[in-house]
Amino acid sequence: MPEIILKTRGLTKCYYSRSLFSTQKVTAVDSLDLDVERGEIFAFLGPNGAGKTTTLSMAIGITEPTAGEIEIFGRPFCAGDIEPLKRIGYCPETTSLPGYFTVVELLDFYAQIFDIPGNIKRQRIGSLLEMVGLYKERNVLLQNLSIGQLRLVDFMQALINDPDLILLDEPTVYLDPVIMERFRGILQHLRADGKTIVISSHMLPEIERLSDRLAIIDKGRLLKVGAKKEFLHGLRLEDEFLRIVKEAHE
Amino acid sequence: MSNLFKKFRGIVLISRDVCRSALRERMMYGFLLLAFLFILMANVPFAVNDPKAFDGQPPAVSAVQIGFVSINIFMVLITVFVSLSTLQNFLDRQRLVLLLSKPLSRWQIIEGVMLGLFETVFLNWCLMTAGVWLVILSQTRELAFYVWSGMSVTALMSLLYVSLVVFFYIIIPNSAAGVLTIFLLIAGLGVPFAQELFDSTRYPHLVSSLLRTGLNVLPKVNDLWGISMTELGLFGLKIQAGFVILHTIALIAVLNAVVCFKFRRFRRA
Repeated sequence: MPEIILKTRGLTKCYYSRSLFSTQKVTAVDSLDLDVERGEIFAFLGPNGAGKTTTLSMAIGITEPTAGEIEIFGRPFCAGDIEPLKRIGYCPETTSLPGYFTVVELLDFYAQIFDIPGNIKRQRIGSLLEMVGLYKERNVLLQNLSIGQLRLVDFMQALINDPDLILLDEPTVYLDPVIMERFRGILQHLRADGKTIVISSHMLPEIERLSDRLAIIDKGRLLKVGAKKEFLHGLRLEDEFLRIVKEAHE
Repeated sequence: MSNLFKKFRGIVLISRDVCRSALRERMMYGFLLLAFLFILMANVPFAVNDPKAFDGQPPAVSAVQIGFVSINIFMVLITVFVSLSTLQNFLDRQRLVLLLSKPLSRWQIIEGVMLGLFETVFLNWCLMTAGVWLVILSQTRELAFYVWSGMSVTALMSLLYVSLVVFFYIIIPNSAAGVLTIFLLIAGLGVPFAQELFDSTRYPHLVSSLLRTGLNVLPKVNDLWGISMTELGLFGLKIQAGFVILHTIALIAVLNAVVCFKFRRFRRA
């Protein structure tokens, strides 16, 4: 029986859009049940506004669920619980990294938050820079990096604590094919190291190549979850994805 | 104990980042430059030969007075505008998301922000006070350490301004926080007048005690000015310094506690 690293039961998030005369309830995530197993790459797919980012935000404690439960590393998790965060790496969909930091300084800043000892910190920063191919740019100010390079810095900060669970929200946006190729290699390497990766993305061909299991959600509801082969049936993932989403809309 | 030390380390780490971000505000250097130009005017009383000028005060007293007023005005400007701008950058949703995904409590983040702003403001205060001190030193050839002790009250006042800006920003996360702070400071300056008004008018006991409590919550900026004037030997003011200083420190502590409490839900959907 594989160990469940991230588990959600009945996870629900409602937003209230208030105007002067009316209040409209928007359900971003609706009774979501997910199980993410140790050592797998779990892809989280859905059209825009499906609730992927909200789900990941709830899993990291940034957003409070309206209802439901989250378990991380086998123990209940709620917003404000910082202990599990020591073992989680999170790369948000969009960030505004402070431009006055160099790449090394930013990684050092986040390493200090995790209280990583000096020698391990230096070694880890060095290997991360080598891994993503930004070693030459290590002393460049973030404000002088391209969007793609900033995305890699975002990715590196998520790995600075050598996390067991890595949550990546649209990590491949802005990456060119060369960097994408490298990125794929990194994720496969991390999986081989026993890390659990949850990835939310629109890049279906990438997901098709990388993931072990998939979940498709739309309008907050889980449409299908299962192993990759259950989605393909000789088709491309993109076709299957469109079919499932269209079926749900009908 | 080590856990507490680790928490404090987190706060210091955030504060360093905030201070670094604040020091990049070009507006601050503009205000500093203007402040130094005003402070340089403290040389004027030494250059004037007419004994009737400046109400017949010794030139050193007039010079300190000019420096004191300049520091007060520019500390308000620097504190309100730089704090506001730094808060807008630092507590930007996208940037906050990344910090919140790290093992830091929300109170650590906001206390780090406060500490960082305190450091920035204190650095500005040191520079401006050094300016006044250098003017006095160069003109009188005396060490004049009273300048530092007297001006220290303006540093305390600045910390209060920072606390007020952060307090209002947590409630209304936009520029209105700065406007509200300035309004409150102006209201604070009117406290003695309002107190006199309440004394001369008959209110039911409950109403007058409530009004008094309300007034005491306002920053006692004017009292602090008085204390500093006494320290600097500018006027023969008699104010119980300890009480007002403690009152102000307590107010800063209360504002901090409220800010920490409110920040639990800041930008959390």
